[in-house]
Amino acid sequence: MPKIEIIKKDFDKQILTKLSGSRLEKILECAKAELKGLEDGIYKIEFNDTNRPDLWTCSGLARQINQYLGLKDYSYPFFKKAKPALQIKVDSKVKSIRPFIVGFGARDIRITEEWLLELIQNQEKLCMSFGHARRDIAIGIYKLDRIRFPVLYKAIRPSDIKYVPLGMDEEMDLAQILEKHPKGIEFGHIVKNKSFYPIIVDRTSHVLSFPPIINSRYIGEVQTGDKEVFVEITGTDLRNLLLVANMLACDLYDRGATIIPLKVKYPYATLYGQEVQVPYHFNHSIKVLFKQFETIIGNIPSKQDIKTSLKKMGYKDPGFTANALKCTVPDFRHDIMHPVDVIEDYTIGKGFDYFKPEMPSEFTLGSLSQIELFSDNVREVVVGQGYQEIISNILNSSDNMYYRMNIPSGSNVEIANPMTESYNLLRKSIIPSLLEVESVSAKAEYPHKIFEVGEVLIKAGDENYGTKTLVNLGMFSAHPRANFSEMRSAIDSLFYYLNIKDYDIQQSPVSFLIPGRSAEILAGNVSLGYLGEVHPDILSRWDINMPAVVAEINLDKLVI
Amino acid sequence: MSVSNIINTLHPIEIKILNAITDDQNFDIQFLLRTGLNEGQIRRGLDWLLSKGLIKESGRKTCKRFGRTEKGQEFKEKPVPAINIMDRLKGGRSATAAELMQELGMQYKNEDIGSTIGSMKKDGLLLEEEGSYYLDEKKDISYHNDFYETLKHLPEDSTEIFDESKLSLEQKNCLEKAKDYSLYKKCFKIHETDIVSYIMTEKGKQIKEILNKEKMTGDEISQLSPEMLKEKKWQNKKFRRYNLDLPAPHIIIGRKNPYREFLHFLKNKFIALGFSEMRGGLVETEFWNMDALFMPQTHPARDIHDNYFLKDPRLAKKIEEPYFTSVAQAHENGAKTGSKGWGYKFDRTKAKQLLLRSQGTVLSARMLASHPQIPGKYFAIARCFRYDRVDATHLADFFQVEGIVLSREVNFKTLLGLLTLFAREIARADDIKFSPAYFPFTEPSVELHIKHPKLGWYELGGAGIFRPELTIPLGVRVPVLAWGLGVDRMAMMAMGINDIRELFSRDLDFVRQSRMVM
Repeated sequence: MPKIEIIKKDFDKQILTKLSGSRLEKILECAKAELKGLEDGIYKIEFNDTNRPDLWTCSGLARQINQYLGLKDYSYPFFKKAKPALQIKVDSKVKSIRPFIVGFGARDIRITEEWLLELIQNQEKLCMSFGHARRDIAIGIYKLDRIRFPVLYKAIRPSDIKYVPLGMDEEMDLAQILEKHPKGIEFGHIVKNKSFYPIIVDRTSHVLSFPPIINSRYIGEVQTGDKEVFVEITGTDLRNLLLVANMLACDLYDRGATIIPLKVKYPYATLYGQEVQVPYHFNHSIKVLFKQFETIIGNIPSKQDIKTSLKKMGYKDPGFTANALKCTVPDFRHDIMHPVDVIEDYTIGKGFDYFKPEMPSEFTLGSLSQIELFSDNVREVVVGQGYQEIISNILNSSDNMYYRMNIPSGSNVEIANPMTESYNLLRKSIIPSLLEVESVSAKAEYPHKIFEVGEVLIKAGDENYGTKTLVNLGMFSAHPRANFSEMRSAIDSLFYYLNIKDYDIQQSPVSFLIPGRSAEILAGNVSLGYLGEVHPDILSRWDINMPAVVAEINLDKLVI
Repeated sequence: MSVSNIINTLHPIEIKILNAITDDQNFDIQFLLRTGLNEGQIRRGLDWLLSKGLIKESGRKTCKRFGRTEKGQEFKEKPVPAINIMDRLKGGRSATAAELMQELGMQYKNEDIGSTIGSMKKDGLLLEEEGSYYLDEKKDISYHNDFYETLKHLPEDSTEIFDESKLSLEQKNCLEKAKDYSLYKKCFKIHETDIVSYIMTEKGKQIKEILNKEKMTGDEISQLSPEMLKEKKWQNKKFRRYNLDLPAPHIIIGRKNPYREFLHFLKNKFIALGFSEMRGGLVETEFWNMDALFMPQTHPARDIHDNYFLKDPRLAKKIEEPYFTSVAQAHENGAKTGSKGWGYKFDRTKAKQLLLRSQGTVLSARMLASHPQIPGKYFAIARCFRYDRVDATHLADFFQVEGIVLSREVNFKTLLGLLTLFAREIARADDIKFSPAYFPFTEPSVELHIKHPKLGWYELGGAGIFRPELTIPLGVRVPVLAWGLGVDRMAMMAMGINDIRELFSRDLDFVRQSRMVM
């Protein structure tokens, strides 16, 4: 979940009332946010909602809170159709590389140190969390007064242009940047396999940026005190780019900037036409039937009530028809996909305390699955035999499953991307889990009689998933006189009480049991499991110095 | 302990010893053998009497004691090999070592015959000529017979040890000389032990006087037996009183795991509230694990670093229709769900990727697609897998508790009611609060916080109403309440543990000792 840091001084200035401590914590709920701490004048805030990047800045969060408390009306005039003063021209060659760019200008600002820190954090957060580490979204911010418009977005060969990138002192070509610049090393993989690289230059061929890698130092180093900026965003999904541009523009506007709209001219068709004005007015309106309110919250609120609650959540002037609410979604939000999303905003605007819990009243029958009922019966009998139940992890290591059990590698279902070697496959038997217990429990008083009824996973080529989950019983007994007949008695008595009559115990080899002292448990031709004395070589692989006998039975086959 | 208390709790062995000894007279273990007790019983009795201060040590001397070893046992029934060799060579007859081994091989091990020949040669008893042996009948050959007789006289080492005072000087010499014979020295053992003598204390005398007065013999009944009951032997007998200060022996019992008891508690609660159990496999497709839950394929939690994928096979053979298509369409453009969808091209191959179930909600999605009861309530306690580094607060696999309620009659208020019920029934919490939450598959979404008497406020669970983009493609047209409870903190508190790994403990001592205190 996204976490951000906000400078308290900056935040206090933007919130139009005094908020702190438990009041702030409570109010943050309207943004699905939690205060995680306040250190050195910095709030640490965590957001539950991954679909509300518009809240991930000081201004964005302040906007939500001010609206919620009815302290300020926000409106953004720059979304209206305008004659854009700035222009970006797109070359057709970028279509197959990094097809989209958007941008706008902002003036009448004065970048402060806090704001600069926030800009950098926000840029980073959006590119990393929302933009898949710059693959889908990369943002550049520049000194507006050093750019000669129109700006050109095109594709070039890696050695075609040299410029001084941010953080360096000498000119480099694009290949050198990928090789030497820290950002080139970190993000170079996004463009590396292409023969042309994207580049943004101005009318006088001065480089703005090599997206999504690094800006030029001359134009692309925003500093404290700057009064005008140019913002550009490149990526793979035009809708998301416009959304990010809208978010950034609204934040800048909230801080007093005048937004200068811009026109992007594409040589190819896009979802939004060939000429796109940025910031972009999505004009996304949504209709919510009163019936839908009733389904979700159990009643139809009054129009005034809906209006008041939605206003607190940032909706502008909702309108009504005979049977529905019609409202426009703010241009910096993309999480409103369905009427239920508007209804949720209504419930948050209204406050959850308003909704009085009602007990579900319909009769339904409670029950356990057959396998769980049967497993409980088995546990009951085995506990009666003096066994202690164990509950183990299902993930385990190839070392335990293969080497220590004398089972060929590849017998278990393995994980393609294990985090550590200790958890790189799933058990297909309970017995290794029980041997693992014994291996660390030599100091416990003997006899050791332990069991587990639990899930295992086996390979099953004919299944849709190539695997099958089974529920097995594993039993293990270790003490100086542990032997085959002890376990056989245990199985016989278990089967007696489970009312299983027709079964045979036939000598059969098992890779980790002593030859001649291991057997298969059969019902007709169906193998139910096995039992036997653990081979001393296996015991020594587990560092166990006590004779042990085991049994394992698949319970799925016994459930009638 | 008072005198009467001591009397009442004397063990029969102690009584027998006290009855056998006299005031101011030293005694030792040897002396007490006359009571008919064996050495082990006597030692135990002396220990007890010493600890009660009824007798004390009055002196000790060191003495040698002898006993036959396992090797020596061999010659209990048959003579040592030297005797048979001498017999064979008597009267000037000769034999090679091989012949001797062949002839005596039935009775002795070759190495014993060999070492006897060697020893006799060294002694000069045997003379060798061109590989054949003769007996030098001029030499004194009685030693081997003497040793054999002495050895027979010794007791078996493991049962009893023989005091040197019981051996004649000749016998002692005989054993002394055995050092030169590699076979003989293996036949017996010499122990040097302290012989301790004891004497009664004043307190002991006092007790003994009472014993005499009450005519206690140590034959009082200790354990009542079926035989005594049948033959009425208990009549006219006294029962020995027990000492209740002694701890009783520890019993190892068979029992359920305490964590299982907790899971049972939960299961029973859900059944009582009218929920039916859902089950499913450990392996799932991305389709059921995420797509069907309306998590976009680009969702950050769908990364390679958030889930465990299968190595082989990597893909399911097929995804059930019509769900595959209806879910794909809901993602792409909302289809008939009233949503605008996520607006991306749905990747059908990605949907088939196999992974370890990462959330129990999979089971809810599958339940929706398998003609659930309406109204219906379902729950699952499902093993799930998370790509987390295992530490005191994270497990790689763990149980997730969740469920759904389907009905035309349910809504946000009944959801809050259900959560209130859970808080009361499961966590026994009356103080609860709700706050807005985010889950990709529910809208509205809510978090349930409860105030626990010890832990304070904490999040017990998350819930919401399934999005129509989830329910409609799976064929369900009524509202579905979905909830999940984080119950491991409750379990840990009930078990008194702070490390989540201990829920799946491998330490048998720990599992045996831990309890569920709810």
